[in-house]
Amino acid sequence: MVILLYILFGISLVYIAATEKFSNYIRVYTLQGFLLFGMALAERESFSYVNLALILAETIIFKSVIVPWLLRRILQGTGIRNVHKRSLAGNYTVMIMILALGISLLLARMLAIHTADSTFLVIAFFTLFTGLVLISARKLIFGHLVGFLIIENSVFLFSIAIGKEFPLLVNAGILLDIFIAVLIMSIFMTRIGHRTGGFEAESLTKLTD
Amino acid sequence: MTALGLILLTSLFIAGFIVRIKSVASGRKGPGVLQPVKNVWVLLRKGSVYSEVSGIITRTAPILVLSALLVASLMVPAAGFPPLISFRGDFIMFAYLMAFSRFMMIITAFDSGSSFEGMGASREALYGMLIEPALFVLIAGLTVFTGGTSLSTIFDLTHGEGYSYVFGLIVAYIIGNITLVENSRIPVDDPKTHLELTMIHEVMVLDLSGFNLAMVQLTSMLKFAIFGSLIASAVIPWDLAPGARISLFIAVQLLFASAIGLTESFRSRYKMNRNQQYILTVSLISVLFFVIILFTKNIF
Repeated sequence: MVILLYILFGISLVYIAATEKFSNYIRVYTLQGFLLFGMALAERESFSYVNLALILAETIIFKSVIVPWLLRRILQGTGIRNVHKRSLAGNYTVMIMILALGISLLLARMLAIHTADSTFLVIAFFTLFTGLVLISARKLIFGHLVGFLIIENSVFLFSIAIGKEFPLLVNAGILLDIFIAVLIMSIFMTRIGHRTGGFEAESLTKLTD
Repeated sequence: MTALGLILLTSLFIAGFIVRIKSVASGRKGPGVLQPVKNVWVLLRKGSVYSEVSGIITRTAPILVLSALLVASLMVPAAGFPPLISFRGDFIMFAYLMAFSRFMMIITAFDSGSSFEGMGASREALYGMLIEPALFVLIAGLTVFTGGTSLSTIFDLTHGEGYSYVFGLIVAYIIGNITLVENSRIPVDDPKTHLELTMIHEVMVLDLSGFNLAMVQLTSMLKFAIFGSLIASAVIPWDLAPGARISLFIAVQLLFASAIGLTESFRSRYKMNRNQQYILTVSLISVLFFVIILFTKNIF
């Protein structure tokens, strides 16, 4: 069953890198929230109610409900639908993803820590690279926003891989950071974006006092 | 012999079944399941017309296209029934027989001297080249998983240590997508299109007629059955009773044909420049499957 979750998570990363519709980004991110919850449940040997509630809050409530709702509002507010035409072509993105999967394997092997689950390490690295690919290959800020969120998912996977070595507090701190980043970017896109003349990441460089 | 018999039998109705599913999905009664076979029979009794510029290739290649596929089908197991030919590394010969068949089809298109056919041939060559890694990586993953070295052993997934039904589904998904590319079906190509500019496979056979066209159509039907057989071999446990395996084999082939029919009914084809991305994505999923296999077998 866990294998199914690994594979589905991997396929969701492939899909998010290949798709050009932002609505699909949201759907995939929502699905990843559920998959992460399943993986966290499958990996932990014992649970306290507090632990379970925190994982539930972080995955299902935050990743699958609140953030997708926020992202949908951004899309409705800005009217953007697809990735920018000047974005890196899908063919190249997929080829980079194949390379990223190979590098993830190598990194996981180099970092062979006895306390870490190497399968999760590979998926975590692959997720991290997917987030980076989204940020570097997409021109519109929305793509960057989702890229950040995907990177946060990789942090969550790292926390599962390392298990007890990774305090929940650190994870919560990173989650808060990402949430603030999403909030600031959504404010930029819905409130300030129209005045800067677009939603491209380059327009952020024009901001002055 | 049973494996070959099953493959040849299912190849007769699989193309018709796809058309039937498409007809039902669009609210029409549609032709009978054996209509493509009847069409081939009509074509076989007709003479061939050749263009003035075409040479020996157009006259000989169609029969070579079918022959290569027939030899490839001799190596394919069918749900536990052993193939007629099996040896170490036969999957490489299998892949290159498929490639040879495609190559003959491509040079036939070039031999016609039509610029349209040349355009279709170049597309076919590109997509064929891009989908090949997906097949090889998949086979590499299966080889690692089962420890087998020929098609007759590597598709016996259910006996592999750490087997999960998920593996069978993923293999079916990847081979299903490879079939769509190899057979030039939606979303890569639309066999029903009437615009030469957007054609891939259909434009390559525009100058073929009669017996030669029948050979190409038989090849297409056989290709569906071969890939369907590989899927059936991956998902059906090989230790079941022969009767049960035969029933399940036919059921899987029908399910496979239904999936293709439904895909073609409810999905539009991609723009030409999106096809490469789709094919590369299939390759990436294949690589992902390979990585998961490495971890399952604790090799990594």
